[in-house]
This record gives sequence, C-alpha cells and structure tokens, in this order.
Amino acid sequence: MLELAARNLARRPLRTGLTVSGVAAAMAVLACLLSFGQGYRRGLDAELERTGLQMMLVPLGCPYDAAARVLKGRKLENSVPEAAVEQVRRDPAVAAAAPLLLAAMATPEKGRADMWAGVDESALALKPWWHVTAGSNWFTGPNSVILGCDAAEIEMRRPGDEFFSPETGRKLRVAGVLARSGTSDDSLFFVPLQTAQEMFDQRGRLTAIAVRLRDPVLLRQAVARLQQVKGAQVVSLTEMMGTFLNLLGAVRTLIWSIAVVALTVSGLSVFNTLLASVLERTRELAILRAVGGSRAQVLKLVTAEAFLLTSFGSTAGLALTLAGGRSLERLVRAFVPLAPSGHFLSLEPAVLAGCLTAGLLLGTMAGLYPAFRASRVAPAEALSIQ
Amino acid sequence: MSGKILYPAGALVLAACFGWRVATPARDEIVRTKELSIPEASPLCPWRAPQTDLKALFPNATRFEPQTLILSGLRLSLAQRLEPGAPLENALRVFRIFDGEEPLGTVLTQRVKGQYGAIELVLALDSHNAVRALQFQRLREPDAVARAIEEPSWRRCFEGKTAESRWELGREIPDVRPEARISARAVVEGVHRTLITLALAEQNRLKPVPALHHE
Repeated sequence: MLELAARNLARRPLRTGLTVSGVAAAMAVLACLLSFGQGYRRGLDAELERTGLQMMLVPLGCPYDAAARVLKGRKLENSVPEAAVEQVRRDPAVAAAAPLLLAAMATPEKGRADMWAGVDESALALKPWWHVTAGSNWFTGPNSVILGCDAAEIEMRRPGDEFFSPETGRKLRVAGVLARSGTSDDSLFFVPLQTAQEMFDQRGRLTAIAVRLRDPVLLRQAVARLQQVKGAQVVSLTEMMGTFLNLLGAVRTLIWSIAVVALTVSGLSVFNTLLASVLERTRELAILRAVGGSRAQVLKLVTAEAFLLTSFGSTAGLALTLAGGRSLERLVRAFVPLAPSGHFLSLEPAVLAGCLTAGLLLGTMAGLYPAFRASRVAPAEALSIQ
Repeated sequence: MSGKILYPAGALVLAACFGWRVATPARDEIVRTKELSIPEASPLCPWRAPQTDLKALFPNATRFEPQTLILSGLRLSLAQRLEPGAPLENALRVFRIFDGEEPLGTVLTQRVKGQYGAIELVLALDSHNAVRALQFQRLREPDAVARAIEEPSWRRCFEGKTAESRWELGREIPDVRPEARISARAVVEGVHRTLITLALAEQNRLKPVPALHHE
C-alpha cells in the first residue's frame, strides 16, 4: 500500500516536492520555536537560580534610606525583629529564609570601606555559589571570618591568618576564602550572625531577611502574606521578576500562536495537495473501485499518501532544524532581550519526537477528508461523466 | 520509484547530522579551553590619594607619570635576589614625579602582608632611588601596632636607604614593641623587596607599559 502511495506521489514530483517543502518549513519553525521556548525558560530559571533570592524583608520605612544608612556605616533606626525569621519560614511559599545583618564601616581617610555581613547557616540555601577555594566552608567559631575572594586578595589573607576590625576592636581568624561568584559577596567579610550583632551593637536586630521561594510564580501570593509580618516590609525583586514573568508569558503565548499557525499551514498544504490529487484521479479511482477495490482500500491509499507526505516533510524539517539551529540561535540572540547565558536552543529528543508526532498526526488527519471523498467515488457515475 | 523520494530524504538527514556535528564543539575542545584558563594574579596596589601625598612628598612636583613594569621576564633574577619565600610580583606600579620636565623622583605603591590585614605603603624615592619618605595609605592593624609603625621617628629610619643597604629590624632599622614586630618586619621586607624589584627592572631596562588603570 505504501509503495503504491509513493508511486502516486511521484507522478507529480513538483507538486509533491512543494508540499514536502511546505511541511518541512512548518516543522522546522515548530521545532525551533518549541526548542527556543524550552531552552529560554531553562536559561531564565538558571539565571533566577543564580540570583539566589526573590525578595527581602527590610525594616519599616524607606528602604532606600535604610540602604543609604547601611552604606554610610550608620546604625539603623528601625530593624527587622529576629522573631520574624521563624514567621517567614512558616509561609508555605517560602523555601528558605536567611537573616542578614549588614554593616559598612567606611573610613575614607584610611582608604577603607569594609562591608560586613552577619549570616547563619540558612544563608547557604540562598547562595548556591558559596564554595570556598581554601579553608573551611563554614565558620569554625564565633571569632572566625570567611572572606570574599576580592576581599581576601586585597587584605592578603589566607585561612588561619588573623584579621582585625579596627572600628569594633574585634580580632578574628580567617576560616575560609570564597570562590569568585561575580556578585557583591566577592568584596564582603562574612561573620556569624551573632558575632556581627555583637560587633555592631545590634543584638536581636536584623538588617533584612532574604527569602527564596519554592516557585517564582508564587511571588504575588507570598508578598501579600509576608506584608503582614510585624515590623517588616517586603521588597521583592519586582521589576526584574515582573519583567521575567511577563517576558516568559509573552514568549510562551507567541510560541504557541506561531506553532498553531505553522501546524495549520502544514495541514492545509497536505489537504490541498491531496484534494487536488483526488479530484484529478476521480476516473482512476472509479476504475479501481470497478475492478474490486473496496472503499476501505481507497481510503487507506489516500491516507497513506498523506502519511508519506507528512513523514518526509517532517523528517526534512527536523533535519533542517538540527543542521541550522545553532546558526539561527546566534542570529536570534542579538535580537532577544535579556537573553540568558548559554544555549537557549534546547534541541532535545523529546521535543523533536513531539514535533514529529504532532506533524504526522495532523498531516494524516488533513488527508482524511480527501481520502473519504476518494472512497465515496461511485464507479458508474464517475465513468459515465467521461 | 519510492527510492526517488527516500534517497534524497536520507541524504538530507545525513547532511543535517553532519551540520550538527560541525556546529557543536567537540567535548575535548571544551575541556581544553577550561584547562587554559589564566590564573589570577594578586591585584596591583593603587595610589589612593596622589595629590595629597605629592604635596607632602614632593612639594615642587607639577605632574606625575604612572607606569606599569611587567616583571614576568625577571622572575628568576627576582627569586635569586629576594629572600626565600618572598612573594614574586607580576608587575610593579611606578609613578615618575616631575617638576615640569625635570625628574624629581619616583613614588611606588606596595601592598604587604601585615599581621591583621594588608598594609599599603607609599614609598617616595629620590632620583638615585634612595628612600625619601615612607607613608601608609591603608592599614587595619590594632591601634598599638598602627601607632608603632606610623611613628614618624621610626619611618624616618628608612630615609636614604637603597636596594643595596642592609635591612634588618632591630639593627639598621630600630626595633618596635613586640606586638607590632610582625607587621613592622613585613613593612621593612616590603620596602626592601620593592627597591630590589625596581633596581632589577631598571638594570634590565624594562619598558613600561601604559598605565593599566586611571589614576
């Protein structure tokens, strides 16, 4: 049956070639778009993963004023009560919450601007880049300090060295040096939270609670709930997250719209070709019926033609995607806003198999009406017309 | 007959596979790139307050020219001249000081490892590369240590010394109180090391590269 169907298609090579090309182009578009969508989503997820947190709980009042006070080394008039940490951790949307005490000791006359961060072990969940290149991965005692890589280079410190905070008079010992993260952590001096609270006379007080959500999509509900925490206000990475979420939603809608158009074009192309072929071959099909061909056999024959057209077209389209996908990615990257790093064309077997299945199903379905029409040809009527 | 369609389709698939292979870097290429990553060098010490320091060190100076001397070609000579275990710098930051077109001397900045953190030195040399003055632009030592090494009378003991002079804490350079000794020794050794490095660079006529940073 398939051989007969292939012979029928080969009788009109130009028309068959054009149809196969149309299906191939549509399938290439579909595969590229779905791969772009998946890879883009994964890239954005990875970028969000690297940011480590999605929102901060900061003391009531103007957050910019609070940030300016911290940077100038002045004490905060307001602070987040330490008890708020447990309340935040109980929220169902919160994956991790880490208390922070930040303090800047700026002494421009001495050429220094020390940035201290008091953290506890929950900070590790928010800092996926927290890896030491030397020494211990965590504080070895209350008087230990872990240095960001830039801070360690500038202060010429190695694990085991002594370290002094002239402003607070605290002597510390370097426990570890962090690997370069490309974040502001590279310049920070990390000390245990309680040590920082003692050093800067902020017992029981926090500068902020950093929060990581189980799923960024839960951001709005989580913000609404966490706004109720006493003595704190939520500052989400709204702009960035909003941009990401809007972009992601828009990209997803656009991709599915174009995918539907591509599949429709592909189906219509097969439908048109087969319908024209059936109309052309009315007399031939009537003879086939007259010599004993059943309606089911005619139906199968035309459906097989539709199947062959779409399978050739789909295979060629996927081959085109595999061959030209990376070049296309390089071309598209220049025009994509906030393009994540790494490849965002994710040509995975699952995507390719899904495209092939969708293409075959739709193409075969597009051939059903022409096949039905062919099977309804009445031999006597068709032959008498001639 | 069906072969007319199947063969071109097969050829297309093969071409796609070949294109994919060419477009994707081989695994060993990626690994090799990682292996060739450049190791991090310790950062050069900046001159934090040149205008203020110039007024104190070279009151007649009208301008200065920053230069960076790349020391990679001198590592063997440096290792032979310096104390065993002394850090080998990758580059030396040199500021040539002028009164108009007349050279007045040189300023060098150097970071040394104090007991509690880095100590940044500003070293003024006369036109014969003898120490004219020593200042500290940044340190984080406890008060007792900082007072001892910032003591003007102690710093004056460096004046007139060159790369060829004898440098020993407690002999040529007066001793300091015990709690400041580690940092004081770091300063003495740092100054001596810097002078030796400059002397070697000049003996070997190293050509300065343009300043790497804005001053």
